[in-house]
Parts: sequence; C-alpha cells; structure tokens
Amino acid sequence: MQQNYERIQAAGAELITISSDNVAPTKKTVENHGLEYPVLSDNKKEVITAYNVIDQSDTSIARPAAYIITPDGKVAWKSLDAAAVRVPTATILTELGKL
Amino acid sequence: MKQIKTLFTLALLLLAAFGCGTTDNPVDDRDEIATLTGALQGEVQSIEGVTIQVHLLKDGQLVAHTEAHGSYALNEIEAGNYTLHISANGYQDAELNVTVVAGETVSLDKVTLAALALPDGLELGEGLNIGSKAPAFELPDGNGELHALADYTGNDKKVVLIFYRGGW
Repeated sequence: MQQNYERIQAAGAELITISSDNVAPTKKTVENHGLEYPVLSDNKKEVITAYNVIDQSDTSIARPAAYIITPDGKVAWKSLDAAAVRVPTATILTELGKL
Repeated sequence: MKQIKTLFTLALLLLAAFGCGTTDNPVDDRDEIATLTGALQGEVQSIEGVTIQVHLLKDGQLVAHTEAHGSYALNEIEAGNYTLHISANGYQDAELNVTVVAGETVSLDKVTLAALALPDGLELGEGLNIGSKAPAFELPDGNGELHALADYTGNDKKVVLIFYRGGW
C-alpha cells in the first residue's frame, strides 16, 4: 500500500484511512506496515457514521469502503466493498484520472 | 457384593471430587477464581428484527461480546471497571460505565437506543450520495495527533478516504 500511496499522491490526491480501532492499535497498524499516510482512529464511529459506512453485520466497525472527495469537499466517487475485499488501487487511480 | 459396589462408587466420587490432576497442585485455587469474577445482566429495548451488539471493554480492549434481543448477560467477568458498548444497525451507540463485583450479578439500567437519522433515500451502510457534501471531521492518528479533512482538501488536492475494518 505504501507504493500505492505514492501513486495516489502522483495522481494529485492525498490518502486518509480510518477505522474504529482505538489509538493504540492504530499505532500498531502503522508500525507493523511502515505506513506514511494518515491512519486515523474513529473509536466513537462518528465519522464512520457520518459517511454511512457502518458494517451491516457488525455495527461496531466500518465496512471496507472508499471515497474520493473533491478539493471543494464534495463526494465525487464511492466504492462499497464486500467484507473481505478492498477496492483495488488501480480502480481508485482510474477514478482520480476521470476527475 | 452390594457393599463392594458401594465402596467402589464412593471411591469414584472421591476421585471426582479431588481429581487426579489437582493432586500435584499444592493449592487448589478454584474457589478463589470463583470469587474474583462476577456477572453483568441488563436489558436493551428490543428492536424488531435487529440484533443488538454488546461489547465489554477494559481500557479500550475488548473483553467480552454478546448479542442481544432484549436482555443480555455476561458471565465470569473479572471484577473491575469496564465500559459497556451497545450498538445496533440503524441506531446510535450507547455507552455505560460498569463495575463488575466479585461473586455478584450486577443488574444494569435498561437501555433505549435512539434511531440514527439518515439523509433521504439512503440505506444504512450504503454510503453517501455522489455530489453531496463530504462531512468534515477531525480524528487522532496513532500518536494522538489530530488530522482534519480540511487539512488535506483544497490547494487543488483531492482526498482518497478509505475505511477499513480494523482489528476488532
């Protein structure tokens, strides 16, 4: 994902990732994978709720999902993914190219 | 013959009571364990056809989990202070601070979950409409440093926002 982060940046976008994990496990995720992009903790699920991506089968977590937000703060694209699936970065790059 | 049978039964009972496995342990701590744990029980206003998730957390770590349709119970919980997190599809979460008392069953107040308001035409968990305003946010990273969406948008920068399931 680190390499794909650079590809996303090269396409003129910033990457932010969010889960319902607390701060400490979030830090572990960053360290385990050597991540340089922001990995944020939404343990109260305020943002997960605001973006309407609560997991239907386990309401304590987010479902895998991706959004592209325009520079003026509008939702330009979204991908709602199955439980064990993450949206391919290639798809995100294609969508970024369309905007 | 009957006496022998009785003796044999008695021997079996003694074996069961003291157990071969515990004889090499100088201290039988089974009773002690029993006094160090307690139980919680409570009730959530039942919501037709919706499973309610009950998570018990200590210092943010998951300790126990159960699902409820009305009443719930968590047994054999180590005595101490916990946060009880109650959530259900389409409803706002509720959080209670609870204390588990050794050897007791603590009854908690009944919880009623408030329904989440969703924008028109949206199904729960199905994301936001294309073209709608992306909700502003500010969240901590692993070091507790806050990041706002507005820090990243602007200057002609798009933002790719990825939600992932996380550790629990």
